[in-house]
Amino acid sequence: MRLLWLVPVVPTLILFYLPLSVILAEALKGGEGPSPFVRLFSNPYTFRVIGFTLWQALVSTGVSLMLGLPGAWLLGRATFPGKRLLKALTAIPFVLPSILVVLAFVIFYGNSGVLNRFAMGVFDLKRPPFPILYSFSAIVLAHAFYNFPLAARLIGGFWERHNDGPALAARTLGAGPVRCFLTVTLPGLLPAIFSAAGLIYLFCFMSFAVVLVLGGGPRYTTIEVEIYRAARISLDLDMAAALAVVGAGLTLSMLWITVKMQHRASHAVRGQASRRGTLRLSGKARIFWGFYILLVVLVVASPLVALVVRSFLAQVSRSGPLVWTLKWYDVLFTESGSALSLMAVKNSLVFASLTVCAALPLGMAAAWVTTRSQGVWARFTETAMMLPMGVSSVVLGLGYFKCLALFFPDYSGSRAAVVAAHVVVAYPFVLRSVSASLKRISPSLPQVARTLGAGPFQTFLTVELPLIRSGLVGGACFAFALSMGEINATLILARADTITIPLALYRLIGAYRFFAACALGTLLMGLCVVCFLLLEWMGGESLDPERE
Amino acid sequence: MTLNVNDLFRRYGDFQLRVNLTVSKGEFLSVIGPSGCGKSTLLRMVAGLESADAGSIDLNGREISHEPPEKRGIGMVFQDYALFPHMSVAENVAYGLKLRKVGKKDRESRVRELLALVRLTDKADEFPATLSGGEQQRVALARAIAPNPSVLLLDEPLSALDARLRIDLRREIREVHDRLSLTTLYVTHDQEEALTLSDRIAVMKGGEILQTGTPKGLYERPGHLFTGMFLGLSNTLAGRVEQGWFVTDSGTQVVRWGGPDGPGTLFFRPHHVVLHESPSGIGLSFVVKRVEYCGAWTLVHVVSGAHRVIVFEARDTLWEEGRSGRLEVLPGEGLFFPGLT
Amino acid sequence: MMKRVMLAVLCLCLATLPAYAGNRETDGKLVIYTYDSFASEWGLAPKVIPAFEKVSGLKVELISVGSSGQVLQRAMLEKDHPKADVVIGIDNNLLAKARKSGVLSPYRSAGLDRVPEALRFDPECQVTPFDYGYFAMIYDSEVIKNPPQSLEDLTSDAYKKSVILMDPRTSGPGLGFFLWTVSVYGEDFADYWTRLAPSILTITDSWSSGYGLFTNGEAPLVLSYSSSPVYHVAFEKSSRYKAAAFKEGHYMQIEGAGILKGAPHRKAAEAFIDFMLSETFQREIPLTNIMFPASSATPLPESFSHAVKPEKSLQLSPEVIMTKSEGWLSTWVGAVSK
Repeated sequence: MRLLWLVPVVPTLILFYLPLSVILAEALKGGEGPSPFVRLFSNPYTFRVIGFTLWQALVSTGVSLMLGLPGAWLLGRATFPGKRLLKALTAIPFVLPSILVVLAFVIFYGNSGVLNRFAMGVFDLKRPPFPILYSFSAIVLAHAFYNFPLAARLIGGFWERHNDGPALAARTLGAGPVRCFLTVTLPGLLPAIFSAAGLIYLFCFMSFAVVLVLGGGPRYTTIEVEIYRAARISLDLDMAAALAVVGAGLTLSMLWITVKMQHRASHAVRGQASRRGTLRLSGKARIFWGFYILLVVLVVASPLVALVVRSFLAQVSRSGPLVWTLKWYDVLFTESGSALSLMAVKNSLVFASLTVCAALPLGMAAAWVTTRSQGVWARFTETAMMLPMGVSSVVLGLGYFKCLALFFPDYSGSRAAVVAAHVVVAYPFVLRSVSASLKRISPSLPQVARTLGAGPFQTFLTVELPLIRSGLVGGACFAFALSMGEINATLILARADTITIPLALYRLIGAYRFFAACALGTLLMGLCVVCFLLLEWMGGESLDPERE
Repeated sequence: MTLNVNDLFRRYGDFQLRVNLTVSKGEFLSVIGPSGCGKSTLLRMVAGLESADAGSIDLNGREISHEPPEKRGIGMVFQDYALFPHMSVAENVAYGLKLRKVGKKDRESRVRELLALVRLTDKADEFPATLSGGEQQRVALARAIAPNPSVLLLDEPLSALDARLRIDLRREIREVHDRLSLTTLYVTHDQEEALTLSDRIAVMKGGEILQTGTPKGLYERPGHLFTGMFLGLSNTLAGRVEQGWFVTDSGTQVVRWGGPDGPGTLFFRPHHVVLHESPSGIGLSFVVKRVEYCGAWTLVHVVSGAHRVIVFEARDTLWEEGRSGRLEVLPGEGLFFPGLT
Repeated sequence: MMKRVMLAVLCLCLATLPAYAGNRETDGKLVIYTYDSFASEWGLAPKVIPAFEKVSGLKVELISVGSSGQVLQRAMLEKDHPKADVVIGIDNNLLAKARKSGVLSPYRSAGLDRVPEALRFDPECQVTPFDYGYFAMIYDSEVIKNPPQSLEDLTSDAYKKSVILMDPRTSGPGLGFFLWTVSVYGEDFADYWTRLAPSILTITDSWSSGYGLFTNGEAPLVLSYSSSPVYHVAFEKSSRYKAAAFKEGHYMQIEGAGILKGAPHRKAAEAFIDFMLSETFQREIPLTNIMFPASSATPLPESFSHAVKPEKSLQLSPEVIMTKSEGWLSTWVGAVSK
């Protein structure tokens, strides 16, 4: 049991804290001139940036959670055809490099985007009627695009096996449906909500390109912009490290709060989950769900669909009409020989699969030890193991590079380092996803298995593992998606021959081939959906006998 | 298989658990006590789910206190059934057999046999969520005994079930025990279960076993006031012994009592009381507060000054609410526990 | 469930094994760090590297490390144990940093004689220029009939919310445009940016997203290179996108390559620098890198008539950039954040 702590802790220390501390040492040692921390905090600009970063992350998290709750109910409680596909789609936004997300938003919401052009055509307007982009709300919208499917998935997985008894009791005690939801159901879901909130907060905290472009400029600068600038433009490694430390400190305290809240909120509710609800919608509810589905379509589906559609359209002649074509796909596979795209696809798939293979056991072990023990130490460990999400991958990549140069002077880029970096970025998702599932398992189940003659490992294999399956599959999907979409660390650590789909995508754009990039993005999404479905399939039937 | 618990000790903050206990081969022993007395902890320590600070547990002379639960060869039934929700009834029962590498054929026949024993043959392929509480607990019982454990541990297995089901199931548990002559340790807070099921009862309080004995012995001759009050219905009167009489605090002589003078509590069962209509004579005057008709008998609640007393009467009793009379404790039936309460 | 997982893992192992089995030898060749669009399949590399390998008989390992800033960064990180011989992509904005870091060693190629004096930006010859270009505003001629003719024109009401710029803190062209305004307005650049603010639709993180927005018709004006229209003419047969020529001149970008101090294959590196200034290499630049070749002897293709070649080119000295840009940028953030 004691030794089991080592399983998640040691890799985290080696793969994450070691590179990080190498970078940190750099910052503290400093070069000539004043310490980067002094430079940082003597500038009021720093505080403005930090303030804005925290604020936008908070608002985005709130909005994502609110949008995600009804979706969580749909994914957790309702039965409808296509649910598995929908579940698989929730991780899609995470695979897209930020540039494609920006493009997708512009194609759909932009001043000359689908939505505005449609409205201008219908109402015969001169100016675009929905100036949605280039404002604070556009930032929130884009963050909701990424994160509310995640919220729906994480909370939905929890809701699926949530005990309805207390809610029913509240109804009999005279609480209306709304009051009952707010006072009983919602508090019951809090562990999953805090768990999701922690992830979403981190994600928004680290956001950068989306904030800058869709926000409309430097008014909306996050701390990550400054990290990127220091690490990659002004090549001020001390400053990058100092900023990363400040950012990590901020996210760490935030994470600590969510982990603490999550533990506080999880009163283990015993008893059976309710039977699967059949969707019997009354008039009012129908309006609500109709509205909700419209919202989902607008926020998530439309930009993606717009991107996909754009990849099949081309102008045949100057200012001619758009026609359907496979031209851009042709560019991908024939123009420079099929080698690039095929190699990128192969590399991406291999990296992502290996990442999943490594992140799953790591995240699972981390979730297991932290949920099976109590107290400050467990919370601390959980927070510490979530931190990789809160550290810029630019800095992480640099840390890796420094570390490798320190221990392997002959290092010149390798696949193993790339996979290790991907694993570090991805396993916190597995941890969060699995720990929510683990917390639901009544402690007497593993105990009874022990009395029946199963060792701890067998118990895990035969009892706990099958019960956390949905959490595992969810975590695997997100780990896969993150690895497929990762750019920064890959770029810093890779060799010449390790091109991945996102890198190929940037190369296409760098060579003015924007629509071919859309095509490759579409291909990327398609590949991911297939892999997600494969993961779901490997997880077994979504047979959950308790709910038959 | 004899189970010996020797000087088992565990400290939780202020609470201390210190137990000595022996369950002989084939014996059905119940541990009973109020919640928080440490009885479940004792059971979990025997199962290996919690560790002891000191002391030892041995099974048939084999020291098992340092073995993990899976090596102890015990079977356990939990209060919340703890059926594996992702396995069918038959798979649940076969779980322990599989781990012991019992062949497929033998396993199947053993599962069939056990399901027949708990009368669930037709539910073999169903999943736990579709079963009623009683059925679930029968599956849990079958699962626990499937690998032929040396000792069967039951942790308040009936507490989540309704009264009628409890009576049925407790009989079944006892029948299974008798048929297999399993050494059984049963933990409950329900005195009726303990009285009806057990060969012997151990009464626990504040982390220690107060006394052990047969149900009849403990009921009729409890060594401690606590034991007497915990097992079955009872009445107590605070007072003192004075010149060969038990006298209540208000000074009324209730019953003759030989023995040294001093304060204490008079303990008697509801059927050790006679109610008289005539107010004159020995005993306490009372007013009837409530009459409960219980079918086979009647329970009369009476009040005498600050004391409340319950009395068994025949089902056609004439006592009614508001009537008054005189209460006599039958000489030689009550017990006096000296000491201030 | 277990069986399926096992099956999948087994398949994966079989599929990935070959990828890790072979580890190439690292002797007798040339290692080059370069930026992504150089190494890309549409970049110069596939056109010129095979030619060099044929001429020299050397094996070239080309490693793309991202943007040009990162080329220098990688070299700085490996200062004590250099693994590469040549770095490509040190431009005039990075030059001072490169010199200060001391990772490069001087080499004067004979080919430099064919490069005009104005382009020989490093007198110490640590960095050898191989191509150059000018930043320019590109406009959509279908939307804008009267293109702006100066930086000042951009502040006009006619271009309200029509300009896409890049953030100088995160993007090379963004920094180029910023320095352009500084070289035109001097210390008063903040006033100009305040006047420019209403015209700006958004300021993007990178050239890629900015130009992507522009191609999607989000705004009719974007910051790019004066040679950008060449791509559209040469590969899309479209002259819709044009570069606007500005009266006050255009800020210039010169790209160069250098040999690392302690390079494992010094001789090969020198041969490669010579090769970069040779006819074979230079003539591929216009249509592949969409930049002007440094060697004046190289003929330009016909489509380059669409590229603006300004009469006046602007440039700030590398030392001034290095010492002052941090302060300027803070002023800039203040001016555009209002």
